[in-house]
Amino acid sequence: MRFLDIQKQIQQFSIELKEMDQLVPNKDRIRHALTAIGTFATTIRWQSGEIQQFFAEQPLVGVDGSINTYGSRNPNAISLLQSMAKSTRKIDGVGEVIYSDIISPLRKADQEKILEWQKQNGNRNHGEDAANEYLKGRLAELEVEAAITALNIFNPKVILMDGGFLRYEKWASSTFKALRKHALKKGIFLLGVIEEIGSGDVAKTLEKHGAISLQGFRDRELFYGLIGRGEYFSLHADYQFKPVRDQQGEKYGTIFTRLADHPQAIAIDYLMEQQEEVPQLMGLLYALTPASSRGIPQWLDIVDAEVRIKHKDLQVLLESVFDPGILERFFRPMREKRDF
Amino acid sequence: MQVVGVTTEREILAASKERPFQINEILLIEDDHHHNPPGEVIETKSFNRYIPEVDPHSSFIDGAALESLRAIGWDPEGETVHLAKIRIIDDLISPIRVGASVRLPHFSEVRHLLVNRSPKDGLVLGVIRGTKDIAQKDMDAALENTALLFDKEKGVQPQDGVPFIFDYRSMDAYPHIGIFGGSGSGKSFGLRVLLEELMLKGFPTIVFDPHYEMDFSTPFAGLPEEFQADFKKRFKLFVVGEDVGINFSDLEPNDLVSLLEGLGDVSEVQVSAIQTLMRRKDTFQSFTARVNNLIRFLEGQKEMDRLKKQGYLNSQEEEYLKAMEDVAPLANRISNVSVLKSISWKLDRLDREGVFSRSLEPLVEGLLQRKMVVVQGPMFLLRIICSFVTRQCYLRRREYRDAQQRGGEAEKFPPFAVVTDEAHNFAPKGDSRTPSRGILKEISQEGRKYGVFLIFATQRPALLDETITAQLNTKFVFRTVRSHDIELLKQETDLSYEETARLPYLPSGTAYVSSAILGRSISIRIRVAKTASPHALNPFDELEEMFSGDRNKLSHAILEVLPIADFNIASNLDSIRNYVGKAITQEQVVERLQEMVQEGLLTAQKGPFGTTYRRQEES
Repeated sequence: MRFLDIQKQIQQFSIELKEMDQLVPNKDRIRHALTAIGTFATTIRWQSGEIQQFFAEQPLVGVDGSINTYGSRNPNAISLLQSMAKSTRKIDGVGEVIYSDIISPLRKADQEKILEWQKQNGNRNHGEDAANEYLKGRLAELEVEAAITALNIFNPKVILMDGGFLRYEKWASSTFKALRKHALKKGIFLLGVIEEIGSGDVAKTLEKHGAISLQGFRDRELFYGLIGRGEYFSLHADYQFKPVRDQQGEKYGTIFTRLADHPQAIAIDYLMEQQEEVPQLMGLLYALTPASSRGIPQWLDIVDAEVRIKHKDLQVLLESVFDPGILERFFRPMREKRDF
Repeated sequence: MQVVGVTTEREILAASKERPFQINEILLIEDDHHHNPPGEVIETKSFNRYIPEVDPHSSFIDGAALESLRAIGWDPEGETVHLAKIRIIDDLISPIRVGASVRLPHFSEVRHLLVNRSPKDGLVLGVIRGTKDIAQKDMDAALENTALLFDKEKGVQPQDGVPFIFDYRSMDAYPHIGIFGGSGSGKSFGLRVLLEELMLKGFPTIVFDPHYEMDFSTPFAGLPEEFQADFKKRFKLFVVGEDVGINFSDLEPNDLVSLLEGLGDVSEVQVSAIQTLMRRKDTFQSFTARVNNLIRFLEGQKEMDRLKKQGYLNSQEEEYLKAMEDVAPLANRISNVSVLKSISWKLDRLDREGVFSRSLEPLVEGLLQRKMVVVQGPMFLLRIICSFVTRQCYLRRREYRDAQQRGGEAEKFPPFAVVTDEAHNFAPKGDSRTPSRGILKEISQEGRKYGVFLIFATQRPALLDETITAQLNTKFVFRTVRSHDIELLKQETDLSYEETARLPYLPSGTAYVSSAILGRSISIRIRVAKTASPHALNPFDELEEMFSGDRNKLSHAILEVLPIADFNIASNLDSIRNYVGKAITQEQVVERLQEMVQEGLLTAQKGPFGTTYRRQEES
């Protein structure tokens, strides 16, 4: 296709989206419809005094992970995974729990692990997809492990996970179960902060029960510009609590909220058992989120910055350990050698 | 502390989360391949990734969110990373291993870099900056409490590092010292300390002191007993023209020309006149008589003719003609009266200053007694004296040493140092005919052989003769502000780029020592002096103390005779005058009375006979 044809196609697509946009009912109608299946509420930022009182001597812990892969196509790749649980208070000069792992499909042990994983999870993927799944799963595991260790060492009041619980339930279910158990036992609030809303449940439920047509919008598009600053929306109990595929009983709920200036909403996953207190925590999350940020509590940005593995760093690490000949034969991607 | 980033053989970057680095401190790099070399911190930085530079997109600027995190116990300051640029002191041929640890050294590991002489064998001038931690750790006890410091607000302070002990004995290989710094930089203070140390070692020194500052009789207040020293017997003060002068008979024609040059240009004609007129063993009187007679001869032809015609002459007139006959032959060679008059005037001037009425001997005596002789006087006289005195002493020393070499006999003369402040006036750059420059230049180049050393202090090193500057092997550089001087120092010293950039900001009393004896530049703080300068009083305080004294006395005198009224001031004047000890006028009393009313001490009541003044409480 020539360039002019591409342009035309994009313009047509733009018109399509505009039409979709037009067809969606206006904000007030949607808000009204939503009140049928849930409630809107507003919160105020907690002041330093309240925060201090709530936490007393206990810290806040944030958990995040990072993967970086070096190499050519599967299986000629090697990945470095790292997870970190960082506490606002240090114990004996230590403030972080860091777990890491190195995985490559070229390694026998890893090949076995990948196959094992597939077996345990339905055997649907092969080759590259299987390897990727395994990486995702392993990272989720590392994050939950870091969270558990941090829980034991730092005894936090609140744990913020970077991302929703669905991922942990899917890829690291038994470890996550253990995390839930410990948290509930010690009265620690466990929250999952979802920056990119990927669900479609609310839109679906709304269309079903709110008598409203949403033109295929999913939750992200639905909540864009809908929630005010410091406001949050939670579904009624009946519609809440996504049960997990094969579990008997562990459920969690989700609150949608907007904590910063820009109009995109985020979602917060919480444990069902803590549903009474969680709405009260919204003021805390609001206080922890800078107004001009991407909308999530700043502590997670800090953890993210520290856990991130730069591609250059990984490259330097590998180049310092592997013989150049071996690196070249097994991993070096040809694209690095491109002239332009 | 750890080595990070890119390393070279000369410099590394080190980082630490625990401890900020101190400028100029010495650390040890644990790299066995290079035998654990020491390094000096030449630049420091701290940064915190969570408190970055202003960036409109950065969300870390939000103070509220940061405060909330602080409330939960997070200490963003604890995430500060400290960086330092460290210059390796050894000469390496390959770069340092990245990732090597860096630590504080034991004193024994870096002793050779810091201290080369014990306090007994060297001049204790101050404290090396950046050595506080090393000194506290495990420095030799003998080095403690040798160099106390001084702070304007807090007074005498304990020594807070390794003492800087100048290895003066190495001046036999690396002679001469320069002390440079602007006004208020602590340069004179540094010179004072250096001279105190020389006196304690009994090294004969001549000091030319145009500021009337180098008096060592008053001890510095507030010093602990062990640190005090009495210098009264170690130095002698001379004022040019009063205590010390020049013996005319010792002068050669060139010397006299030099002396006269101190008062103004001496033309070629004048030079040749002097050479013609001067005879060996001339005294001041005999020479001036000859000059004046020649003037009379050239001016008095008529008179002489008249007398010759006159038959009878009295004794005076006979003497007169005789004298004229004596000088007659000279008239052929010198016929210009104004030249002679100019010479005569200059001689008179010098005579009035007392230059020829004293001799050098007391000064030389002082040197032979291993004392410091301080010569004070106005600059123009000092320049003249300096030239002559220095040359005399230098020649005597040279004669003695040369005789020693040959195996002959000569009068003993010790090695000595020549010290001056405002050195650029004694040895300026360029064409000006300064009498002292020649000998000082010669000493700068040849003095080492004879143990004659120069110690030059100046605010304007750029104005100092370049040959001499190049020969000053040790330079103490205090705060310098003028770019010309800083440029010169960049070229003439081994100060690094970072160090010269800091020159305008050095605190008073801090200096860089750049010396061939050390092999690298060291930053020091000068120790507290053991003596006080006579100019130490703040002129504003002086005003209060001295000049308010009189007013106070008058006030008291008045209070004694109250109540006083306009009409009876005159009768009380005597007792007032007695009290104050000065002649006070009636007007002054009235003025003071009025001032005291304004100050609220007295009240003034107008009456039929004038105003009556009473104490405030009485009325």
